[in-house]
Amino acid sequence: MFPLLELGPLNLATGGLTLLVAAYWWSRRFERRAAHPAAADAAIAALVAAALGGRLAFGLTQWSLYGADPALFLALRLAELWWPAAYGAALAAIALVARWRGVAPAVLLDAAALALPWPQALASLGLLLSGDAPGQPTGLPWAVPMLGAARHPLGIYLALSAAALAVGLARLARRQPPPGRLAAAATLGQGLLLLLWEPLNAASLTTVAGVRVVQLAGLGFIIGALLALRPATRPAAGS
Amino acid sequence: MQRERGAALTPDQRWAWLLVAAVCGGLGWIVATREQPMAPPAAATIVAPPLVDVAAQTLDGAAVRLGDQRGQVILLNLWATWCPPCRAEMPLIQAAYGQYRDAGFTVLAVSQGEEAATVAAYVREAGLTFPVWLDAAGAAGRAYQVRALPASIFIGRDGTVRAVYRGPLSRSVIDGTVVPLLAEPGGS
Repeated sequence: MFPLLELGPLNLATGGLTLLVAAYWWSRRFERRAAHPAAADAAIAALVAAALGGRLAFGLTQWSLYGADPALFLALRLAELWWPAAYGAALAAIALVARWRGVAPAVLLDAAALALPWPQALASLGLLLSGDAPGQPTGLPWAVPMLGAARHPLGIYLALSAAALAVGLARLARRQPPPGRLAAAATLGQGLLLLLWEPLNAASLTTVAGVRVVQLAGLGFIIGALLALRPATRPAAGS
Repeated sequence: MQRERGAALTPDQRWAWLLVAAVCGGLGWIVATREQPMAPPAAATIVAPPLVDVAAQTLDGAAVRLGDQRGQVILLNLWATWCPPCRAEMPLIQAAYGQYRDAGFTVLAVSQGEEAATVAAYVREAGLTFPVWLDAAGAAGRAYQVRALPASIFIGRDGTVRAVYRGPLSRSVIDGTVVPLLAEPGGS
């Protein structure tokens, strides 16, 4: 585990490199799907917001360490990001750039959501390579030897789920739903993914009574997505 | 009549029911799959063999021995700066050290096969205050049959190994192991 690429004096974690490749891949897919000049700005803003938001949330959840040394918030540690916060911050950044550039936010958000799952699947495999998000020990035949035990290959589960989300969103996109529906459906999928798989994460962050924080965020995504998917109220007859 | 009413749910009502079901189902799933705070972890493998003494160095180069720490509850953590799960568990270990240190708990984080400068830089950056030792030859790893990092060995006041965990620790595992060990009477 933890394969490293040795480039001269640099030891680069392949998990981190996979994350960088996935981020670049997403931005290219997003810009191509949005087909709008504002998409390039939105992609950059989303990546910066994801990095800052993800790191800020990670630091707040690890306050005993980050509070003692706030410089850690800016340290080059690709794995120390909190995915729910990174996702939420990226969506907010895209919406803000869209408003700033006079584009309907839903148009860019839909393109961004549609572009995400395949790069997300790649990044999930990177988690497996880097040893982040190790699965719980299991006796199942497809367990992988990792950290001294046979464990659930959580990175593979997440990658397969992201691939399923990609297929589902592509099918939904072919039906040309109203603007914003794709982004809401994608957020619903992200929430389900967090809610369902987090119990298999051996390094899960917990709060009161052992409740997993990532699952609470996942439920928040689901509720937010359902609120966005609320059926439009039809005008009363005769009005 | 009732069937007609049931069949006549408006889209808004169907959506409301879906929302309620999602909230209730989600909360139920979260509660059902929460981490059991004091559950015995599956990775505990060794029960009460005596502590294996190993020699190491402090970051300043002073020679130290694990056996010299006998009498305290010890978390012997074998780790490396290049190992992401090792780094991920450090804040939890630091927090536990801060909470239980005065009750007789100590952490010995023994870096495996790394140079002092690398480890010292990380310790400074991460703000770790517990003792961090160097084991350049990996003697501690061999002594405790550790083949993957991180690994955590809990040693009681009586100098016996009471639990071994392979992989990153959660806070509940640390608490669930340390608290009972601290409650035991001191060893000779």
